[in-house]
Amino acid sequence: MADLNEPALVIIGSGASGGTIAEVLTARGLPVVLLEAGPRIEPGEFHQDDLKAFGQLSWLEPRVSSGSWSATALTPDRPAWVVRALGGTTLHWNGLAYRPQAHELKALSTYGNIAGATLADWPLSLADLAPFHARAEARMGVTGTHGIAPHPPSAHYKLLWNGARRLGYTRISNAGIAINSADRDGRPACQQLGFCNQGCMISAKWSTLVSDIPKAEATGRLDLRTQATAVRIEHDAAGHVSAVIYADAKGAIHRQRAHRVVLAANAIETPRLLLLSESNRHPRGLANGSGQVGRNYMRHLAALTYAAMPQPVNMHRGVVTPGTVFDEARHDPGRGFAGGYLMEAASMAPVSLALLLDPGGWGRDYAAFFERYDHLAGMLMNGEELPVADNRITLDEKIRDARGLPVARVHVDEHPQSAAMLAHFNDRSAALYRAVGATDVRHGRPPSAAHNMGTARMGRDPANAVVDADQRAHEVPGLYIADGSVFPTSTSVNPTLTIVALALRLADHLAARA
Amino acid sequence: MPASVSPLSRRALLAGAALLGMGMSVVAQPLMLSEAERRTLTLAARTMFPHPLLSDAPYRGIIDFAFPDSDAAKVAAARGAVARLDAGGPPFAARAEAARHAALAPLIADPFFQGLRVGVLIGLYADLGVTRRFGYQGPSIKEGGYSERGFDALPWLPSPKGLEASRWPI
Repeated sequence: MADLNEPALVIIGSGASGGTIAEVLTARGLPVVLLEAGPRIEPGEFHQDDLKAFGQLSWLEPRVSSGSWSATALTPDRPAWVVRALGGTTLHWNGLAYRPQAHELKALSTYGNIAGATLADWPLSLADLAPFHARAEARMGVTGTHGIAPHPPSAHYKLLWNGARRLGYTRISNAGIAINSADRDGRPACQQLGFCNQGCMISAKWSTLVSDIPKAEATGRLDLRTQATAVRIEHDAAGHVSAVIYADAKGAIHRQRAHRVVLAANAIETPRLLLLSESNRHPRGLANGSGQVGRNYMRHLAALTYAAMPQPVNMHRGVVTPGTVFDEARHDPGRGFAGGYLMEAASMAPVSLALLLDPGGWGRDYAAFFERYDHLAGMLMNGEELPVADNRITLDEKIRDARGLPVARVHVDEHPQSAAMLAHFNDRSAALYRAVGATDVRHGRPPSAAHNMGTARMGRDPANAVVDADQRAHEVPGLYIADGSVFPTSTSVNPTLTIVALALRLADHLAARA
Repeated sequence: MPASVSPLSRRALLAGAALLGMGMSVVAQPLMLSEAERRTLTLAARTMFPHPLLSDAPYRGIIDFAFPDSDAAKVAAARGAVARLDAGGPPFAARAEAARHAALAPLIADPFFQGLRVGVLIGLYADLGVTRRFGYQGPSIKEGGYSERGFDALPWLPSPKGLEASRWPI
């Protein structure tokens, strides 16, 4: 371990953004201290069992769900399903690595003012991001880019493809997945093990655990500290970041001096840490003069459609999310909502499907659905969720974590347009499965969030944004925010590729000013 | 009696007594669930997630795991639940499935029955012995995944040709 009194560049969080930045900076000769709250779990230790994997990987420290969304009733202490381990949520992500659409980064200009929403244009265009998206795709081994072959279509994908074609959809693809289709970058080709969300035991799926972090370690310049939970970021008398306080596995407190701090803790813990870091200079929380820290929390609008097909599909075989229909991703206000959604084929293990499809379900009708498990097919909706100012992360007034600090309270009241988008998805997804002979179609909604965005939004004006277009905190020199917190809007696509792209852009910025 | 059992039994007795608010009179009441009570709970579990493919054995296993005779508090709660299931008609275990469903419906929101519902759901659908019968195949790592074992088998629908499946989407 480096000298705690030697000011370091400190990254908090080892997931998609933190792990990526650690790799780039150490490759360019810069020493990095990387703090990760969770333990190191190697791929050989993963479990091909949803319940065991959930217990092994998930962030299980309490949080508080609040508001009218279903998490308040169904997962009151677990509003979001994210990972607490080295590699962060890249351990359980499904590998869907899509670029957003150009108009989605100009949401306010494209959709106009929508009552109740705090829409904004990103300070970066898709063209600005394109070179970084391309670099991210190369690093992650995204199929369909850089000459990387797509995966052979799985049965579950073929079913989606056939149904989509019969509905007249044309934008259907199994490309854009960060899972090796052939040996690449020291990692093997996918063997179609299934349920990539349990952690990929053979490391065919990209994660920072098996890609970026080992590369950074090999440079000898990575000072990695696992089970090191950041509890406070400090600044000096001039207002510049000066240290990160963290608790180790035994709860002992350490103070690592820092000349720069990159906050990469996912969009719930990042604002929580800023709020916990209040000071005389920042009485409402660090970098929160705008009052925007924690606000505009966005998930994606998520829903499930599962259908019993006339013949076997065996969705459990192979890549967990093997392909997507993009036709409904367009912005078409004629449908009654702004923005769009993806229809992502998504396999689910029996126990998770039974827990999630109808969280209160029981009885013969419910049970009978799972009896035909090998005939089931299903998809997840990934829809743009509008930013709403009062959907936000705050510090809970009662519940404390193991270190005695207030936990994050995650409040969501869905914007009224969400109901219209959900109804549209339910209708179209049911039609898709019926077009290929479904005999029984069911809809549900996962109670907790998977994607977390928006709680430290990026913008040029310090009055209404937390970081600038280079992800520097407007009010705190030396403080950068790297994760999905900076997204001004959620777009219709999975966030990871853009998180990595922004991380690469930020890493360039940091390296150029080292 | 082995020495290790004795303190457990005393603790169980005390816990049971406290739960039932009955002082030591609880000693007179056997703390083990009777076979009839276990049968009723097994049928309640089956009514929650009935599968004609399955014998009673997996349901009974879940009940025995959830309500060990060594846990007086759980036994007492289970006994109370049996009484509620049996109320207002012939014994629950003597009723047909539709009548059992009807008896369970007004109770299902109760915390005990919600706990039992989740326990039965997980006990059944996380049990490979059960889900294999529904066509799930379980962990695949030892068999090398499904790349050579039918991940792409969908003979009843056309397959996309060439790059038709993989046009770059966005």
